[in-house]
Order: sequence, then C-alpha cells, then structure tokens
Amino acid sequence: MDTAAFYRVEGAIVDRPAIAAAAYLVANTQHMRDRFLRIGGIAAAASIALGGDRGLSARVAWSGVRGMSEDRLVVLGEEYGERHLVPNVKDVARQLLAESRVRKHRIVLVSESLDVIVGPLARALGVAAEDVVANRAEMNAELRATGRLCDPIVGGQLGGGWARAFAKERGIDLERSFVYGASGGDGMLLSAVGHACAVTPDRALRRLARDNGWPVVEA
Amino acid sequence: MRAGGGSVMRAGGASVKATDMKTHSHTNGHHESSTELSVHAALAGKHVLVTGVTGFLGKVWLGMLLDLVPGIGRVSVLVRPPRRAKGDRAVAATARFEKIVATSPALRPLRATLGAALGTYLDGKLDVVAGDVAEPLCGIDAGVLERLAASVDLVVHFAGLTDFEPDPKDAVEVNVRGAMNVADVTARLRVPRLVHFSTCFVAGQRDGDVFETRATGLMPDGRPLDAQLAVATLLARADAAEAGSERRGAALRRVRAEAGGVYARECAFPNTYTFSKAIAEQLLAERNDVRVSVVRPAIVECARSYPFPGWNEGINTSGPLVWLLAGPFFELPSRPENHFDVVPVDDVAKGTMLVVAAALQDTPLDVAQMGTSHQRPFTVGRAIELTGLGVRKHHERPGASKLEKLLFRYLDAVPVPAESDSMFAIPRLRRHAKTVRTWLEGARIDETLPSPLKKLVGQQVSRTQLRAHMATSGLETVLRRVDQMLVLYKPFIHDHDWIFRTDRIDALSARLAPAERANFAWNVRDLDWRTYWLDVQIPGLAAWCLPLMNGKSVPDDAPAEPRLRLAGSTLALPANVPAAHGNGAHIAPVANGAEARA
Repeated sequence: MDTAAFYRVEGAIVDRPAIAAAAYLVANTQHMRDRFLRIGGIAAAASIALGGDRGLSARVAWSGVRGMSEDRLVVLGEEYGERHLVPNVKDVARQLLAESRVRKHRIVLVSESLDVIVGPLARALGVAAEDVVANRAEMNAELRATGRLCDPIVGGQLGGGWARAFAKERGIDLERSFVYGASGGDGMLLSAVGHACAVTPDRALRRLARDNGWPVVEA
Repeated sequence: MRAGGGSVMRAGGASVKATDMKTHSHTNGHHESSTELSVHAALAGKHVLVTGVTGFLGKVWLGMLLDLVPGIGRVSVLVRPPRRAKGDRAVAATARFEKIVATSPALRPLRATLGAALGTYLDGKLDVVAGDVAEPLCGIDAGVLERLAASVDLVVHFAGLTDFEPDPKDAVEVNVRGAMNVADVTARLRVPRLVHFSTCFVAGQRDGDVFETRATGLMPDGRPLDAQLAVATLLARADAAEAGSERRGAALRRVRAEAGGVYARECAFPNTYTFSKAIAEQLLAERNDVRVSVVRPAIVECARSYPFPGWNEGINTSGPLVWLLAGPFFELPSRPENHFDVVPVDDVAKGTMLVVAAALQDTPLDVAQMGTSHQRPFTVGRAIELTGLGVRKHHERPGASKLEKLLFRYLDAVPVPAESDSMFAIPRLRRHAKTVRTWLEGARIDETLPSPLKKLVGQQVSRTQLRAHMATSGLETVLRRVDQMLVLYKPFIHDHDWIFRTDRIDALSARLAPAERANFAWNVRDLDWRTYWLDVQIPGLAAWCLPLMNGKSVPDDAPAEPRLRLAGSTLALPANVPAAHGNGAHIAPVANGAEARA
C-alpha cells in the first residue's frame, strides 16, 4: 500500500484563509452592483468563522459565487492561485514537501477552497490533480454556480472517517502516512493519521499537539 | 449577367444544350451517399481553379490543399493584378501572388514542410491566372480560358466583398456579378462543378433553426425575391441617395452605403453584404448550366491549429467587438442568450476540403452550412464575458500600466438592452461629449478671469481650453464611429438568434476515411470555447487584428532566400507549347534576381 502525506493548504502551506479566496471571487463578479452586495455576505461568513463554525462559514462565503459562470470561476481561480497562493507558499511548507518526496509519499492537498483555486497551487507544487481534495461549486445547466457546494463538502473540520474512507479508496496505509495541519479544526484529521505534525499551529492545535506528543514545526 | 449560360462546352468542343444540363443538375441537386469519402483519392490528379486566394479563408484553404493534399494535380489561382499596376497584367498578378507565397503567415506550414524544396514542389502544381471576378469571364485571357476549360475539374470561388455595408455598386460588382462571372467560366468546363462561398446569414432577419436549403426565391419574411429587380433597386437606391446628397468622397460613399443598407433591411436582410450574397445564391440557383455546391460559413474567426493557433487576417467580424470591449467601453447592447456563431477558419477550410472532394466524386452537397451554433453552441453573453476575462488576463501581463490593470481588473464588459440609457451607454456619452465640446467652443474662459490673473495665466488657460476642445472633438468622433459600428453589429448580437444547422457537413465528415480524419474531419463538437477564446482568439486578434484597428500594421513573414520567383502561367503559352500538367516548372527558386523559367 502507498503512504501519503496530507497537507492542509490553509495554514500548513499558505497563511491565507479560504474566505479570502471567496472574497476575491465575489469582488470580481461581472456586474459592479453584485460586488458590493456580495462582499456583505463575505463579512457575515467571516464573523461566523470567528464564532468557530467553519463549516457554516464556508457555506455562507461560497454562496456569494451564485450566478457566476464557470468561465469566470476558472479564470479568477487561476488568477488568485497564481497571484496570491503560489508566491506565498511558506518556506517551511516547501521543506516539508521536499521531505515527503524524498520519502516517496503521495502528496495530498486538502483545502476548504474551490478546486479551481487550489488547482494552480497544486500544479506549481507538482501535485497530481486527483490528489487535490477541495470543494467544488455546484453548477446549473447554464454552467452558472448555484451558490451551493457539491458534496462531500470539505469544511474546516475533517474527521477521521473522511481520512479512513479516502485512504481505503486510494489504497493508502493511514498508519504509515503523515499529516500536516495548522489549526485546531485539523485536530481530528491529525488524530486519524499515523504521523501527525503541527505546522505553525494556532493556540488550539498547539495545545492538542502538546497533549498528543505531535511534533510542532515553526516557520 | 448570364453570358455563357445557354450552352456548355465539353472536351473536344462538343456543345451540350442547357436543357440537358438542367436534367443533370436536378438529379445532382443533392446526393446522399454512404460510400467512404477520401479527400486524397477525390483530389488526386485533379485540376482546380480557385478565386479569392488573397483573402483570409482562401489563403488558409490553399495552404492546406498544397500542404496536406500533395496528390492534387494542378491548382490555378485567379489573382487580380494591383489596380495601379502598369504593364503586363499577368506579370503584375504573378508578382502579387509571389509575395503571398513567400511572406504570408497563412502559408507557414507549407514553407516549413518544404523549405528549399518549395519551388520544386510547386513546380508543375500551380498557375497564376491574371483576372478579376468583377469582369466578364473573370477577365481571363481568351487563350488561357480555353486551356483552363479543357483541363479544370472544379472551380472554388472564395472571392467576395465581406464589408457589412459597402457601396452597393461594389457589392453587386463583386458578390453578385462576380459570382455570375465565375459561373460563366465554370460553365465552360467539361464538367461544370462550382463550389461557391456564401454566408449562413443569407438566412436574413429571422430566428431559430436555419436548415440547409437552397435559395428559394423568397425573402426571409416570405415575400418573393426577384434577384434581378433587387439588384436594380439596390443600385437605384444608392444612385438616388448620391443625387440627393451634396457630400463628396468618403462621405458620399457612406451615403450610398447607408442607402443600400436601408434597402437590404427593407428586404429583411441584416445588411448589404448578406443581401448581395443571397441575391447571388438566388441567381446561381436559377442557372442550370453549372453544378453548384454552396458553402455557407458563419462568422469565420481565428484558426484553431492550421496554419497555427490564432492566425487571422484583416479586420474580421469579432475584431471590432473585442477592440470595443478592450477599450473604455463597458456596455454592449446585446442579448446574452443569443447564439454567436463563430467558427475557426481551419474548420471551414477542412469542411471545404470535404465539399470539394464530394463534388469531385460527383456526390455533391448543394448547400453546406459551416458553423457551431448547432453542434457546439456559443452565446453572445459568453463571448462578452470571456472577452472581458481575456482582456483582463492580457492587461495583467508585464508592460500594462497601473491604470490599465486597475480598470480592466475591476470594470467588466456587460451586455445591456439596446434601449439602455445608463451612464456608460454610447448615445449618452455622445451627448455629454457634444455638450462639453460645444461649451468649450463658445466659452472664453480667459475673459472671465480677473485682469491680473488673466495676464498671468490667460494664455495658458486658452491653450488648455483648445487642447480640451480638440480632445473632446476626437472623443466625439470615436463615439460616433462606435455608435455606427454597433448599428452594424446589432442584427448579429441583439436582434436575431440563428441556429445554423450543420447536418450535411457532419454527415459528409462521417463518411471520411479513418486515415484522413485527423486532417479533414469536421469536429467542431470538440471545441472548448473557454480555451479557444482565451488562448487562441483573444491573443490571435491582439496579434493580427487589433493593431490594424489602431492604425498600425502587422508584419508579414520575412521571405526566405533565395527568393521565390513565379514564372506566371504557361496556360498563356501558344498552342504548340505543351501545357504544363505535371511537367512544367511554374515556380522556381531564383538566385540573385535571375529569372529561371522552365
């Protein structure tokens, strides 16, 4: 069986939260009036995130893309990825990724963002498209976003169940695999994988790391 | 206009009456066949006469033919000598075509494939025939015509005037009489096969599915179309408008063009161009001395792959729209849900290859439409949005100013209803520009200044006022032109929603031999519009079309050394000299300017 290295994009690879990507997309809708209206939704999502419910926050934030065409999402997603994610990959993340390659781990990127945003980052990091786990915007028949995310939704908190299902489907030995997270919401994911590591963690994850004896990598 | 329509010449000079041809023509109106179609087999050893090879589509097709169908027997190209050329017409036409072969980007693959062997390859393949489709029998020298008639298997007529609203006289001369003159030449062939280029938009002012039916003698709204009367009226309207106008030069031509456009719309056609093409189709349909296959492309745009991605020549249909949206105009009066039938030029060239092969196999299509709205629909709204995104992408590149980046990042083009009077609407901008210009014209700002201030800055204020006045006048001119342009485009992006059926070319392509599918299959179904528009069309227009719209030029390729020299046509040689079918050297590389004729 393969071994994998799971990386939570938000925090472990780049500092920018997924909500920043959502804000970028809605600030660039085709019609000017929509931009102002939808930025309000992003502000609401941000306040929900601060309250701790990252799943609900993601739903609210991505609902702002409702009505946007697939063309626009792809072009803006690439633009955001190339302009704001790729140049801002943490040095420590690059080192960890290099180590994963030396160990011949299958690198899996896990992100709350949309696939069109993480795609350019994955390409830049040499990660195969099928090893990107991200959200997908649901499209209607006219190829316009409905404002909903396709199931399964990748939220801020991924459980051990998800990790086990993913590993079973791809033939990955979870016990021998590695996982890199950065926030308290990643705790359950880190608990489910054999070798967990906290990368520049927030306070909640730092506490979890101490309790579980996970190594902590600082920038 | 129908000279030569009474009888047709067979090889050996035998004459066949028109009535015989009529029977033949009817039975050949449309053949459905299930036999395998091979472009290579159909064209092997055949002789084709091509008009319009100096145009966008004609050049791509000619390049594809010479490059990908090496078994073609002979190609004669009708080339109009430059208007101001002095001396021998044949020499002037040859020189014109020589430059195309040597420098046109459309022929890059041919030059790349053959390199120094280009001259040898073309030796025995190509004749330049001096002529002009606007002249009777295309102005071809009688001796040359006689030789062509004895040898040519099929005529492909690309030549045409594609301006939306030309002077009706020019439209009639080139698009209507030109087609008849080419048909007259075709009628002299042993087997009078003609592939005539028209446009899908002869469908006129209507909506919905447009099927591939021959000209019916009716206008799009069902009224009878008397083609001869329509031509006479079109010209009379233009002449009457001219007589009633005091304008001169270009302004007078505009008056004539507008009068023609008004009559075209009265006859339920979008413009003079489509009207003239519909009249030509009608007149061809009434002829029974030629077997006509009518090809109707939709909006022909940048190449997908042949000769190379993005190739485009001249100012095409979507160029002005992209130019508009790439500038400070963010609203386009249009209906986003309407189909926008754009088709890459190489897809039309491939389709043409199939139509030509079918005609040569005597299983001709009488009409073949070539567009994408049926099998791979694209909409006006999507084109506008992708254009905005493409322009945004373009301006993100190094070299763009901060203001440009800011503008194009945050101001997207949007479709608006034609009656929109928002702050960005062109009519409103024109009104504002006029108000400002009028005020600047009449105001004496320096006179309003207190005397000491006037002494100090009076002259400077006057100069600034003059500059502002000139700038506003310039803006007003641009806005007027944009407004006129939008009127011309309105039928295509706002008023009508056409879906051009392409069942016939699709069925023909299904018969294509498997080994030839990679080069010639009609496969618009696999067009990825996002990739095409962003990575092919916008960069293609930026490279080859937009500079022309901004008054600049686009470079031809540098000619290779030694320079190719065309010897012209041996078809003009005296009768006792053998015609050069496969053995004559018509194009040969010449070193140091010395001519080498075989």
